[in-house]
Amino acid sequence: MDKVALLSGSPLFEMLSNQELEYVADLSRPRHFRAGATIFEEGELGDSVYVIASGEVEILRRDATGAPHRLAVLGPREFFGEMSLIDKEYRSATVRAKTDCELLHLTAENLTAFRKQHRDGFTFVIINIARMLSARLREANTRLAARS
Amino acid sequence: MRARRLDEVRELVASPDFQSWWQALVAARIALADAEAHREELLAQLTSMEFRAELSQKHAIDTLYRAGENEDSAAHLLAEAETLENRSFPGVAAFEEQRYRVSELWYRLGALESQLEQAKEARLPAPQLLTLERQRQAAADEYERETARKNRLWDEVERLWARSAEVSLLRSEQQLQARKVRRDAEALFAQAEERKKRAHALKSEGEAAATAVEAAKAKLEATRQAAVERFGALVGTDFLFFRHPHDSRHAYAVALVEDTEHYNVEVRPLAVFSVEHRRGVGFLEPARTASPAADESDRRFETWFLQGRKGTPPRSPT
Repeated sequence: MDKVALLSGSPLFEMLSNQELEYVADLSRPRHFRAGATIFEEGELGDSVYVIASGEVEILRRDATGAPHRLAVLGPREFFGEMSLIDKEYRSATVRAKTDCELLHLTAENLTAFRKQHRDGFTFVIINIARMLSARLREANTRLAARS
Repeated sequence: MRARRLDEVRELVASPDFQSWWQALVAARIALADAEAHREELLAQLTSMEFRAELSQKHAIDTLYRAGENEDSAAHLLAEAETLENRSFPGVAAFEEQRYRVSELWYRLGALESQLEQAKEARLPAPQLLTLERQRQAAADEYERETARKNRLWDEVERLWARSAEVSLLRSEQQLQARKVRRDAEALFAQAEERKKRAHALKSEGEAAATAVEAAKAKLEATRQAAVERFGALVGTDFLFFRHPHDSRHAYAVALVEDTEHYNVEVRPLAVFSVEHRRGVGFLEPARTASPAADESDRRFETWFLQGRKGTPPRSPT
């Protein structure tokens, strides 16, 4: 797997230099999940982010009755798990492999090592996460406005 | 453990001396893995062979018991056939006696019939004829009764002989079966012996393989320890360590294995990591020469924050 090529195409690592991408690539660990395998469960403690190299995952959240509902399906180069990385809360959703998946796994500790080496690069990773969260917030606002 | 700068560690790893040591280490590991696999295979074969030898032995004993049962059965059948044969002798004697008696009756009946015919021709008085007729009828009845008895006696003799013949057939089959099963048992005993011999040979081979494993382990350890002398490294199981020249709390670790599961990063052979003394390889950082914390000439922030807007303007103020 060409980790650098994969990471350079992911919105999580937009604007990072080649040197920074190479370092993140060295810090990431490939993980393989079979279709149907749970990557993490809603309510678990989480301190890592995943970037999808190949395959698809589905984001599931339980409703009041406990039944799971699909919120989204993510594919190559997209990422998930970043919310727990930022707010240090429990996982807000369950993520399950929809097909066989190759993922890159980055723990908070490994990102801290990245910060020590490339502070500006790390800042951009945080900006990218903030952009993603901001986009989601705008989308939620639009939906709420459409309802009222 | 010698102190080395990161560029020195990288140079060392790329040097022909280190590469030749690395090749020797890889070869020693392969040799050990092969030796262990061979020993495992022999152990598996030995366990299987011992089990199969025991199984053959057990089958042989069971089969031998079965042969004994067949022999017992044949002996019982022989005794039964002889008993039947013996029982038939008085039967034959009784039949012969009865046959003689019936023959006598037949002659007597013939004489009475002839006497009655002559009396009829001589026109004897009716009461005399009636008396003669009654005598003839009595003789005919007795002849019939005794003939039936004679036939019953013969039937009994034949039944005994038939049963004796059947039992003899079964006996001969049981005898043959006993011989056959005994031969099977002997073959199984031979097979068990052969397997025991093979197990014994495998045990010897296994001992030789265990010695080879120990030798391969010793060679691997000697190759590993050679890195202490040749490169001044601290030698671990999966890493070589070099002291950081300016930071006593840090060291460089050169990976000697490939491992994507058990460390915080993907570990590739000969990759260089920076480790802190307390946590050691519990947390590996890919080694890099120090870069300025924040490069003032980095224009990316200006580009991002100060140049224009990326998105489309909202339709309504938000």
